[in-house]
Amino acid sequence: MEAVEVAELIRESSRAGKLLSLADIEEQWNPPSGASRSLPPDRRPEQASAATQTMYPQPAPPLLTLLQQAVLSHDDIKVIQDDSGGAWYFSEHFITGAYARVLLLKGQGPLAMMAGVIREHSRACRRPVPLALFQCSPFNLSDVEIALCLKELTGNLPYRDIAHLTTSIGNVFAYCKDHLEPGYAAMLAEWVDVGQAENP
Amino acid sequence: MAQYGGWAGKVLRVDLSSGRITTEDTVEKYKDYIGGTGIGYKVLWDEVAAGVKALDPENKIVFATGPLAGTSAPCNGRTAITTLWPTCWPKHLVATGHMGGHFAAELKYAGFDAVIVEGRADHPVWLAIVDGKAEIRDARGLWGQGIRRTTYEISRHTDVEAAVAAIGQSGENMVPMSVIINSVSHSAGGGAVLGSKNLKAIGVRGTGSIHIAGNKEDWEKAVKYHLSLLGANNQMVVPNSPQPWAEHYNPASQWLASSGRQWGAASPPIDTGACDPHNLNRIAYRTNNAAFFLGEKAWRYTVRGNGCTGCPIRCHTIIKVPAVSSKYGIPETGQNTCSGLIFGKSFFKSFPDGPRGQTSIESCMVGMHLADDLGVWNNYGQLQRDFQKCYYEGIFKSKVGEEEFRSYSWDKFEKGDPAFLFELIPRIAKREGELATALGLGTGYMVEQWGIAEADWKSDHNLQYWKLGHPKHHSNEDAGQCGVIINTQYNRDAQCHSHSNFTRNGLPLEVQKKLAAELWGSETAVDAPGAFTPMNVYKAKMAKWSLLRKELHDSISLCNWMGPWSASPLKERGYKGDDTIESLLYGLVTGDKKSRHELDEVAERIFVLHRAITIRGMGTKEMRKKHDTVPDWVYRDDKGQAPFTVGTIQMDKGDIEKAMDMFYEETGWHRETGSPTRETYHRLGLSGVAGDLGKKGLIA
Repeated sequence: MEAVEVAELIRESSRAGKLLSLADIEEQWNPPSGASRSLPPDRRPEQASAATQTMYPQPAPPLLTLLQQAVLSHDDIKVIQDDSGGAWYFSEHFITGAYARVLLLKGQGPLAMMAGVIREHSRACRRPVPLALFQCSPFNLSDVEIALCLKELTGNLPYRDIAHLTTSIGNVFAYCKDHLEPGYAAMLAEWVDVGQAENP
Repeated sequence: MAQYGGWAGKVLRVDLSSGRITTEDTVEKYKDYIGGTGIGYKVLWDEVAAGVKALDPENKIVFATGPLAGTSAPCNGRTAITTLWPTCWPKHLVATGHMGGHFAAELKYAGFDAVIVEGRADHPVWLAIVDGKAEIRDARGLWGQGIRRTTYEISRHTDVEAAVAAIGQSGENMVPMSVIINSVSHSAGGGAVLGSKNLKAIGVRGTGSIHIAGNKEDWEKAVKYHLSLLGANNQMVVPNSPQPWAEHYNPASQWLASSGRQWGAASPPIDTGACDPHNLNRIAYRTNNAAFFLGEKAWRYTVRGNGCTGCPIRCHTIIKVPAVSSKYGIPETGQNTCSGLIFGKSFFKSFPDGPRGQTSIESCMVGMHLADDLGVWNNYGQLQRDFQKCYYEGIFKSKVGEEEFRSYSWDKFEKGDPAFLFELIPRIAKREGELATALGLGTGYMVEQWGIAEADWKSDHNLQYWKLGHPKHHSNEDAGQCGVIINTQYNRDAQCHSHSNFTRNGLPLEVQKKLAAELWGSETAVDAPGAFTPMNVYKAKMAKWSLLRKELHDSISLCNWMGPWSASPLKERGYKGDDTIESLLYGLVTGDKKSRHELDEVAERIFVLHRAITIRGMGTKEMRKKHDTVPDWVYRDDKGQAPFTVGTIQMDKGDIEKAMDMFYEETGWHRETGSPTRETYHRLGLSGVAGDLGKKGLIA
């Protein structure tokens, strides 16, 4: 395997809306006994550079080295780290850094994902988040899951910075108190939920 | 004329009193005003004297398009309707309505840029315009019919492809709160003016084409470039949920498309998908106004988007709600956008199954069915807000006779039963009873008739009433002082989206500020919503730019509900739009090359002509004190928060005075009177206008 092939694996995964970890790539590169190790023709990189082809003659170098090489030699291949320092790879041809961060949060489970998204919106954009957002792709939580998470988010120590409010038409928004004042959060939530639609 | 493209070349003039039909050369007479509102204002200035009332035969109503109408330029479906406005209180002043649909394109293909209607027919008539010919036809058989049947009948007598702009019973009865509608759901006010002239409809069919003066490849390149800058409805340029291609998303955005969100009533259902902005064939999937305005449930009823000529946004969402057929005996499909879509639900305070439940959707179906057939106007939701205030504050009960009051099923109303609308909306259209008749007059005349002080309306924030009988339209809630300035300028609701389409575009504030610095000279031109800072000159520049963009769009025939394109969804452009796109398209289509600055100057001429007609109509040059007023609610906050506190949209009186000073400075108007100076009229080629106003003592 060469860096160019690793890059193509990452792209294929990104095309499907997924991040790849080192373990994922190892798994894909060590298929079950009897399966071909070669990439199918339609997944072969079209333009592997001569330099890359000759840089790593057989046997292939360790996968981590290949990954580093892929990141260095392919502008679109990016890596982000999760909270525990784990590396995740994606191609910017198919996934933006922002979307990759959302996927990373999703990988941490519904509760951490919701808390992370809520905090990011409050910190970076100064806005509360309608909980209905978490029903959308790629979050894909059900009403029940959202309600359970909201219960967990309320009053639990790790999430004491998270607060929620209900608009005049009954929709729940959440925000991070460290970055957004309650009065402002309430005003913005009412504007997004009611005001905008009444002022088309 | 021959050297120009874009314009069809002729303006049709129809005198209904004499039956005389004539034509004028568009370029020769109106080129300096481009088209649309420009033609409308020019006609009203030249031909309608001060003191004429909206429903007098001496009033004229002008249906006008611009050079881009009917071309392949995106969002070109607008027809501007200019006339003395019958709900403008206490005096009928000049105003415009703007309908989309296919009327503009058909008119151009038939060989005309505009239709000027004057006089009054001695019996109901309709105007047939087919391929260069116009004919006044008897409409006695159509009088009393709704807009839908009128459209079918006229199409039968002309062509199935005809565009029919018609009034319903409301317009016939000269109810001031009436609309003119074409292409099923595309409305503008002014229906009562048509009714006063005994003109039921204009049916138009054209099979001609529009000459593009520029090189064909350049034109196609410009159209594709313009398409690439488009966002979703109201030029929101980021999706409302995370998308793989998107660097930003904003839950407030009207860009709703996403994998898993489906047009559920299409067969088979259609997934709206990720909608990468580089895929120009997916623009129509971005917007679903039914889902945005009616809630998530509306996805299951969505058939597809519909809209105007040349517009890929498709803001008139078609919904199919089978239950309404058996429950209310109305068609199960309907279509509209924005306040037309929520016409029915806006009357009610609550519904048995919540604000975005099934009943609220059904109320919208009933509302669209009635209003778009009877031709009742909602004055940007003021009708419904007035209705709620008058009911819940006991005004109806105290002003209307007991028998009439009891004839309404108020229990149904309070329960949120859409069937109540069958009692109310037809009565408005038919002027039945004092309650419905008063509502049909429009706010100003209604409060006057019932002896209520306008100040009561001006102090109630919930009513959103601004002045002259009309509400605000994207004011301080959207853009602070810039929104306030814009809302002082017109004789009805402002209908300007240049500023709100920027502040609501969904981009993070820091990106908006970068764009603002390029457009208006400083990042300080824009603030975060509800976190306004004191006035500065860049906000005044933004206000002037916004108003000129509106007048430019309304004259050139681009949709100011979708534009301007001052931001884009394209990361590689740093989300920059392009406010030279109008001059690029105008130059290519007409062959009359004008820079952005030069075209803005024409827009300013049009805007100032509107100002001059208003000054003449009001008979005063004291516009700052008597016209450019701001309602009290703008200076109040329900929670007692001070202006410029984070979380309030309240403005400060002194700061707004400063805002007006700066705006007048930017426009070249007299600071104390708010009237354009003689120099400004001269600069804009309006010396004759200045001369006429000067003789009357109406110049600063």
